[in-house]
Amino acid sequence: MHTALRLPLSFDAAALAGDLASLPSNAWVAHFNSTYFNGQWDGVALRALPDAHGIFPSGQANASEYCATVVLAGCPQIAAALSAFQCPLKSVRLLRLTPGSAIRVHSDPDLGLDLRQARIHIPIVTNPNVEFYVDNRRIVMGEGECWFLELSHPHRAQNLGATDRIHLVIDCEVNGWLTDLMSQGIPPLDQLATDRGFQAFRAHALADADLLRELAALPASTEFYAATVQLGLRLGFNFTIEDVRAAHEAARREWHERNVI
Amino acid sequence: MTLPPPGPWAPIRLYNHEGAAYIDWCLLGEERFVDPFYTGTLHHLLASPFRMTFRPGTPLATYVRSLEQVRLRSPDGIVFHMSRCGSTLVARSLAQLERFHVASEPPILEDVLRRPPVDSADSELRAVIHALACDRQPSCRYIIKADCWHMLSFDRLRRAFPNTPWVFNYRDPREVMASLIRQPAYWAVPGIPGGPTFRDLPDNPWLLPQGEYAARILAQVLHKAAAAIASGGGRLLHYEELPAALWGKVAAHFGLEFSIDERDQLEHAAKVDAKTPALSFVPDSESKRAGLSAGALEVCAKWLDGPYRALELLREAGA
Repeated sequence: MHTALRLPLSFDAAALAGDLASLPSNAWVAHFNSTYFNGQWDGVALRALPDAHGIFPSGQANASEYCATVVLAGCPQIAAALSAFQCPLKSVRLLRLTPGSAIRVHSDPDLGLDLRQARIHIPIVTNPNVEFYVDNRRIVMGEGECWFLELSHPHRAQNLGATDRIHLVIDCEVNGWLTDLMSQGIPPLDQLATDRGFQAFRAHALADADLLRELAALPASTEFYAATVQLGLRLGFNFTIEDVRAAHEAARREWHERNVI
Repeated sequence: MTLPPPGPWAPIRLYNHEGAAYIDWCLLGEERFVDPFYTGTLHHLLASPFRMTFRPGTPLATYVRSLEQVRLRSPDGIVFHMSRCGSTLVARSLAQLERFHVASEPPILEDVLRRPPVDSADSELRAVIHALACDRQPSCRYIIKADCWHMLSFDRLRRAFPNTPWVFNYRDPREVMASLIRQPAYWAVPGIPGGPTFRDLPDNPWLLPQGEYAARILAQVLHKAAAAIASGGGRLLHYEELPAALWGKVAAHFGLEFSIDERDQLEHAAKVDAKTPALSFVPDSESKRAGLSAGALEVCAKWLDGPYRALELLREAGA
């Protein structure tokens, strides 16, 4: 099973971005998850449950219970893009990650093809220094492209560029149309560095007893991540706090799942 | 990834990667294995994000080759046992002493014993036992407490370490079975994922009466212990001889001498519950025997009383 597939649909990103320009500035609200990211992560609800206030992802409710918000009425290009989806739509959001911001590694257990719940990302505005990882594998998504992502798997994002990243994020129920579309999907190229050199730094450290001693003396808490980044910088490495955190989380997961058959 | 840098690294486990066996390591540094079990100390060590993230992986074959010119470490003593019989007291008490390094049921021992010997010297087993010494000074006494079913691998261990003294620790089987029925060990649950496998057991072990699966495994363990005594290097250690046997029989057999301070530390260690050191030790032999069901008593009588009596006869004869 692929954890990321580029679907054979594409959209005019410039036209979609035109809708963004007309959004009132107070349309953007902070993501409901207020702790598991750094910097600024906010969004706009375009389809939502009538009683929801905020930019919530889809839960257990049926697709029929989700309605277009008033904001969507002012976004004709986005509405046209949504009409291309011949599957029941649930929550639809614009999600913005500002420069320097990062979403920490996490999984979304309400999603999953086994649950017949899918999430689709369409980048409207992005830059080459936006990094999105699923299962520690970097997925590069271009503006106007349409991506299925299996986000019940561990994933994270960081915007190391100078401009906003804004994605149209569509939650939907998996039906025959979507299954067919996915069967024509293309898996991402596997040629990009996945962690900005953190694994190279790790290998370097494991061959250097002095450096290991220095690392071992760092605080055994989340301060460890920032201190490791500083040590890396001193040696010419350019990884981020989130790269270290993701490596730690991956090592933990692998350790705890060592007996899972 | 190849060998970890010099220093005290603790081998965690063997794992398979692209068809080859690898050793997973955790930096031990200045820490010591003082918990009742090896995995308990690992759990504390791996709470450090550094230790968790910076675990080297060494191909087992590469590690074995790297030791070709090295004088391999053998344990100063091996503790075999029938489980729930005082063996954790032995391991944990000795581990409290600074000049002791005790590996108490290290999972990598089971991992390597599941692999057949690769050569007549059993290089992989000897390398793993060397690794488990965690680069401790030669003056540091090195004791291994095996898992209870490793008595069934006695011949292999004895061949690899013909000069290492060993003890077999046991207890009245009714008390052991009472403990295993109240709180089953994972090895005593038939078919548990990742658990050890045993020979000469019925095809449908989950249909056996309560406790019989464990009893039949322990019967094999007790029989093997009696046979092993004949091959030399071993003493029998009954639960009731503890804790005095630590500084008596066990010390003499393993060639250990304790200072007055160390002897005090051992006596102090014996006053707490070995597996839950936050609790005091409470004698429970009577209550354990009294609490056994008629069915469990029958299982004990059928499978364990005979081999237990045979061991007691050997012990009375000086083993």
